[in-house]
Amino acid sequence: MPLGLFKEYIMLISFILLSLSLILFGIIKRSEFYEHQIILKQLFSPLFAALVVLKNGLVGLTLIGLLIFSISGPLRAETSPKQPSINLEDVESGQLLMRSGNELSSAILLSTDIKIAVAGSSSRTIVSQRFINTGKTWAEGVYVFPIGKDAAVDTLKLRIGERFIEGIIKEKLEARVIYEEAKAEGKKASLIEQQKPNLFTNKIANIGPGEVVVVQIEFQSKLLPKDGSWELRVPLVSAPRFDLPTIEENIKFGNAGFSAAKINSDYNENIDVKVLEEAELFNPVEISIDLNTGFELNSLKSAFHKVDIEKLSNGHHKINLPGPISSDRDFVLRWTAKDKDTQTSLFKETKGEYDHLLLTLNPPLTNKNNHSPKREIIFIQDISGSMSGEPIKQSKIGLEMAIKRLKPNDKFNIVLFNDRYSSYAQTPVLATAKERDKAIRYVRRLSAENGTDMYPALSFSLNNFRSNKSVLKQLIFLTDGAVTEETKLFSLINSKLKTSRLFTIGIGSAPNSFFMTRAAEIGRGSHIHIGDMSEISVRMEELFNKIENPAITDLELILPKGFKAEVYPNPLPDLYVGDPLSIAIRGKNASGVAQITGNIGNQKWVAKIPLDQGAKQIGIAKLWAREKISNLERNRVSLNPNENQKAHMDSKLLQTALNYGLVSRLSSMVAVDITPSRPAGEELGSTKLKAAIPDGWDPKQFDYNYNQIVPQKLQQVSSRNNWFKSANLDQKTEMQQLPQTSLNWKASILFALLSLLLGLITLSTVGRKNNV
Amino acid sequence: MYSKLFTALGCCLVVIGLIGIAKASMQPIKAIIGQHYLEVAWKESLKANKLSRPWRSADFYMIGELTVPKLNISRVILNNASGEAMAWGIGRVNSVQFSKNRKPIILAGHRDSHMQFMSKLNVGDKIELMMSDRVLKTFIISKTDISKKPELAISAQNTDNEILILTTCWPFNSQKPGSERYIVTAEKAY
Repeated sequence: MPLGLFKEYIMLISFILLSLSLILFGIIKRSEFYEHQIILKQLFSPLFAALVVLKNGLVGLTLIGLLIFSISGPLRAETSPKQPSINLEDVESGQLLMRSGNELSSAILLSTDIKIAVAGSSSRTIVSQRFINTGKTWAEGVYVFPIGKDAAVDTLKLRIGERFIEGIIKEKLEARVIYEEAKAEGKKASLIEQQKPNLFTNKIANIGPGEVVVVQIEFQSKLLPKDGSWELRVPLVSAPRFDLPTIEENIKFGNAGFSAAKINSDYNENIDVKVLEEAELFNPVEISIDLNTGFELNSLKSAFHKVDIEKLSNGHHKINLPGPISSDRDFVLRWTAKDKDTQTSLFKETKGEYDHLLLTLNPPLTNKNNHSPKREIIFIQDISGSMSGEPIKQSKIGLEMAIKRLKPNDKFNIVLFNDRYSSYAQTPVLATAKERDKAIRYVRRLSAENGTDMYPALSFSLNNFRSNKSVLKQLIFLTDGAVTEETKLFSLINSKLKTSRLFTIGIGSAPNSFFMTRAAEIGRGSHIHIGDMSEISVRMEELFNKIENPAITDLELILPKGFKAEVYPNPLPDLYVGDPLSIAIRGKNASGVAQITGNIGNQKWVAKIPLDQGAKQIGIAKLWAREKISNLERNRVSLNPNENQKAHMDSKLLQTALNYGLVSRLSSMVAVDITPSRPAGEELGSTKLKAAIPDGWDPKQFDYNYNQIVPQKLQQVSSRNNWFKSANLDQKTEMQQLPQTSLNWKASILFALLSLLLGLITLSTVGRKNNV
Repeated sequence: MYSKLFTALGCCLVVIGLIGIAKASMQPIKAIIGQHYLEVAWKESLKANKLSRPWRSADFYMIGELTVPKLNISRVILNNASGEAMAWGIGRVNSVQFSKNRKPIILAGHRDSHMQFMSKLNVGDKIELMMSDRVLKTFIISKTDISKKPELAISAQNTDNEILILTTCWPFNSQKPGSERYIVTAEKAY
């Protein structure tokens, strides 16, 4: 058989095989598509689906045909070429990029006011921020705000100039469409989206030049005692996170809020950058806290800031900052109870037909008479460049302390990583006095440099344990958590964890506490954050005390008969001394006595909780919803679900978020002003109309005197820039790109017919020759 | 020996021809069936009083409906004018960020499917438009233009007068993708 013909056959066979597989692929891929078309199902389902499947298969076939015969031309015109129109999915970067070609304005944060009301085991935070658009044009503002991981964002109020608008929760994409529509029509609008569970962005459309914007967001969060002490953290700084390029590029985190993005050249001539820098100092943060714990306090203090404390009654305090502070580190308030028993609590909120319960209880203190079990510990130390300076110094001290505490029959190892990893020993070694000294010398030599690649180090460490089942296996992870592949790391932890437990220690003033808390959750351990040098030895000691002692394991909640409820977290985590358990429960008509059982070593442990004795408290329902959402998110990462299961989890998540009005990965808060913005020609800032503040809105935040809150300096800049005479801007014309709007299917058919004809002629010619 | 090779070649050409015909005819079929389906979904979404996607995996939303009473034609409007969206219906061209004024609504569709009717529009014809706010607005065509480039100069309107712009490729019967556009401008009637 001649070689050429053989090749031809091979080609033909592979062509057929490829086409078949492509058709199959099309069918499989589109079967999901087909499933979701409810209305379609009733109408043309079989026809439609068949067409879609056919189309997909045929596209593949044609492509291969094109490849083999390298024919191009009219056949290509399946869809018109893409125009640079904005895709909903890229709106964030696209929008900003587009504007950078036009005039770009920078906005300045004028003030931040944070009010927190603590009641029982939850807190409600109201953050009000005032911005001013110092640019010459109307602008879209984007700002990022970091909040605690468990917080449930539910309210958005805005005042832009003389307009007042309030947000409602919508499905994420729907919210975006509403926002884009409103923005395009020149209306005031705002959109809050969740970027990460602890990072939200708020976009505000159509802020006029010189206009002041007041943004107020409210969120509910859970408060849990740790080792008998409560902690309230107000995040004021956020470390740049490298997997959020759009935000990283355009937004200055934390204090200034708005990006000071590209300032175009003629803007620069009028306003020197110095003014901007000075203006940023006008960003005072005010914090006031209403602390109503309901029990008498033993101690109450702020970790990093000076505060004024006013005692209203036993268990009710007012905390104020003596003056505005700069936002360079988190605000932390800690308090302890006089009576240890108060750490067990039950709060209840009835919403709709459901009772929502938040149960917090402290396990018994058992560390006194128990002898410590054998342990195998692996320390994982981050020595990447982001750790350099204070963080590495602090963690070296911490590590040294941890090594000193080891007992001679414990085994340990140290794994270091930046963009590569190394370990102290091949496998864990016995912590003899000699070995400990050697390890301490090893630790002291450490210095931090280069990038971060956490995955191999973590993978090595998880596989490094050598002991049998009876030994406590613990991983202690010291890092600032500046990671990019969070999801990949989570599933690694989940799959390799086995009987070991992962504890994370956050170092520095702004670690990525979302990653570390979630990693500890999946690792079935716990997370602590150490922000200050003076705290390091105390906090580390607390952690080691805790984990050296047996945990309460195999926790189980037994509900009274006849009471069906959804309980989170699920499954219940292990418990350590001083680490309370908080359980969110939702069910109809909560009553009866629930039992929590577990094992301390070989001993059984039981706690009985009368469910009908919960104290009424607003916000518990939202906390339950937030807990359910984080549980779903956690499962989505750690259970490695398939596409169907993922879709199911997502729909459950969205339903919960919409029912309880929370911002989540799948739901956003959008606010649109019904009336269009100020008519043209009317001067800004000169209006004498007194704005009427809607009922229930805080006049202290939303009512202001323009001349008082906008610093003189900025006003001067504004007059120089002719802010208020910008009506002429509208006379400009802009070019709108129009998309390609021809399919040219007639030409395609013609071409195909030609090909068919040619093929038939060839065949018939060959046939005739053979006959002859 | 060559006869076998030519047989194979002939077969391939026939196959390609058939595929090409099927594929090309898919476009008008998709347009007709898609429009029909969108109509049903749009009615549903009006009833439910919320913006919705025609099907779950769609990356566009239905935002309104356009009716030309003279031709007895109606088209569902999608929120973007990407190739994917315009294969199913007509799309709203996302407008440039403009300042405080209302911007014209610009709609685009294929000249040989959804916007074929544009060749029959004349100055003075009525176009009815209902967006997601469920207010039926009537526009009257005030002018028709041909633009040499695929772009449109829009200036902000100082009046409250709303403007609707329909655009498609020009010339209508050409089979080559080109840069010329046919533009119909309609103003709101009171």
